[in-house]
Amino acid sequence: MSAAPATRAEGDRRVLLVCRSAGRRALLARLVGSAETHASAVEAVLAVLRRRPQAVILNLEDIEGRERDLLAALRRSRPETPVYVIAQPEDEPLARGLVRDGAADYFVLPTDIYRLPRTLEKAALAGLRPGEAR
Amino acid sequence: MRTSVAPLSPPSSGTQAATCLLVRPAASAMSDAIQDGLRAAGLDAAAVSNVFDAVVEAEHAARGHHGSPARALTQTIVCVDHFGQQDFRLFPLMRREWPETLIVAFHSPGFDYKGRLAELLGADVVLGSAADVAEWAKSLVPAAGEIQPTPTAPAAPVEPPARPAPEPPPPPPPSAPTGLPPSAAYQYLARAPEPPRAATEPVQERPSAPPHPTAPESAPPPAPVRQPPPAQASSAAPTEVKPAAPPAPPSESPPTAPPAPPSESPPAAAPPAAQSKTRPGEPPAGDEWVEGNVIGTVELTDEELRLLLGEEEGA
Repeated sequence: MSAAPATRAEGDRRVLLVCRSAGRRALLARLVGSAETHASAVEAVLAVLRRRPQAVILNLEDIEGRERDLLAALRRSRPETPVYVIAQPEDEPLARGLVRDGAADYFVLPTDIYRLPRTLEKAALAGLRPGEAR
Repeated sequence: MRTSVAPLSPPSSGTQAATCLLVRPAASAMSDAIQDGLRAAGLDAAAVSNVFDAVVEAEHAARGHHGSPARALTQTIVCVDHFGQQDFRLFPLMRREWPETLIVAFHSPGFDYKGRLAELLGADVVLGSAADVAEWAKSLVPAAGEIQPTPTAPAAPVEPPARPAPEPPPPPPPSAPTGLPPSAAYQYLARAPEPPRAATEPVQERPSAPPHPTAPESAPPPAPVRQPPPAQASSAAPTEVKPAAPPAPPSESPPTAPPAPPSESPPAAAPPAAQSKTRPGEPPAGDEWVEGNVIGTVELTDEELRLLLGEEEGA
């Protein structure tokens, strides 16, 4: 509930989603509220460089093994922007590794994803740096 | 981290050097060869290992980063052998965001299809071997000092000279990418044998397709080819001898004369008038030529024929 005012306080910053699955994209957009979605990770990198989003959410399934490269590029371009990862249960070890590499947090489908709004709210309020969410 | 990003080297003192970005896999002998070739050619190249870093570097170069002045990349060389489906999105993105940057895709011999994909998605130049890259890089070096004007300057002046003087058609494959605008610089150097094909095809089509412009040039060769057999004596004879042709001589002459003219005439056929006769239907033109040739071969007996006919008829 308090997420909206916090987001407005941050300015007009949106959450940037990297997700190709239409259904999952709709779910994330419903959870996050104001979101900018990109089906292409390359386009997302450019958007992060130019628009400084509030947070970046990566759907691990759509990155096709480039997750570490993508995370490194995002961290290098916007170190202050938290990067969250959404993973299938079988990809949880990989997601955990990404958190070690600098991702802010990860969410395991299907139920853990509902923790995302609260996490974003906390991050917006506290201005958390990546890796401090958990 | 697997990413090994070499920071863009500062611009050379004085004139700005070519700013080149190389997207290459982290460990690849072929990519090493390419990078060595670029270095040997004197290209100021920064190497990144994935498309994400390529976007970051391109954006930083275009907008300036850490106090460095903004200077858009002039060339981006992308090794596509290791590219996945999503990686190819780099090409349309770069084409859209930095249209002034020349995009060169490189593929190993076994990855020709990836080169074609890159071409379809926006690569200006596709190279298929390290040697081609080195040669292409060498062609860039002389223009390194003029890199900034080249993307804009050649685009405008290319048009005016092209119209007044359309005759000079030979664009050197390796050097073209430097000056040509991104959209017009499509050159598939990997298919080196193709340009010669393209050059040979029009030669074959010239007699048929462009009759007007090439008419004066193409006409002379065919004429002498056709005339030699009958020209010696048949030039005046055919009209007169026509009535006399049918009888005996054709039986001996057809085997020698007819085969030559019909075979040579179609390719070298005179564009304006003869073309319509030879192309649509060989039989009609062939009949005439056959008659002429028959007469031409009989020309040895031209006087004899006259004499013979006259004497025979008169007699």
